[in-house]
Amino acid sequence: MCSIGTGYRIKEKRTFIADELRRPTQKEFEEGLEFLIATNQINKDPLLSCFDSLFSINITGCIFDYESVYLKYLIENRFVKHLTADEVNDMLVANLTKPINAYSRIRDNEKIVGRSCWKVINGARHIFNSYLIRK
Amino acid sequence: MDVTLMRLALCIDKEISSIDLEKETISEVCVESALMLFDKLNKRDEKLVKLANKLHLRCSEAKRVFNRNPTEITEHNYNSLILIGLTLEMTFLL
Repeated sequence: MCSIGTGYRIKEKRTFIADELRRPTQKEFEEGLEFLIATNQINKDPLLSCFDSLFSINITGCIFDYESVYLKYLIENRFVKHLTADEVNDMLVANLTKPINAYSRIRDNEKIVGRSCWKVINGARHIFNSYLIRK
Repeated sequence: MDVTLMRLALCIDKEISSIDLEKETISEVCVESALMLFDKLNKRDEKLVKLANKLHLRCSEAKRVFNRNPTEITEHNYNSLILIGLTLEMTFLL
């Protein structure tokens, strides 16, 4: 007895978007990822040079840019998958000394800058943890 | 937004919304998708804004769950949601 219209709606409900209870499958994620990878050139060289320049700037004067560019490059270059363990260790852990020291020095009297430092440290820590999980 | 990207955003949305934070872990592929996808989306897209709000609430919930019951699963989920949240934050900032 279903009209064509009703039948169409039932069919629509079976599509992914309307299926509210099901957890997405690995394959569904991979379909989107493959598309992104196909349209994105992964290149870690800009990341390596970016680190050199980023960690040489005045952290208290340029903290916002520092934080933004730093995390943007980590993310855009899919950091955790495209660097070796030594590269991660050298650049992430060793270079974090500077923001950590800056944070401990300024957090009491310059809260905004301190918070930004903390975000760099915290963000990097989570990215590093993520690397360790995937290793 | 491209249909494929929209579907990927939906996958992330659904995974974040549907898992039991105490019993299931957020998948690596979901986190990886979030890291790669958000920067490609239009910052004014209503879907992205809704996802950001949902993520913020879910992250607070994951923190409460982890504090109440600190296990490997709850820690993983809390870390994953913070990482996705940072990515999303950067998307709006830049």
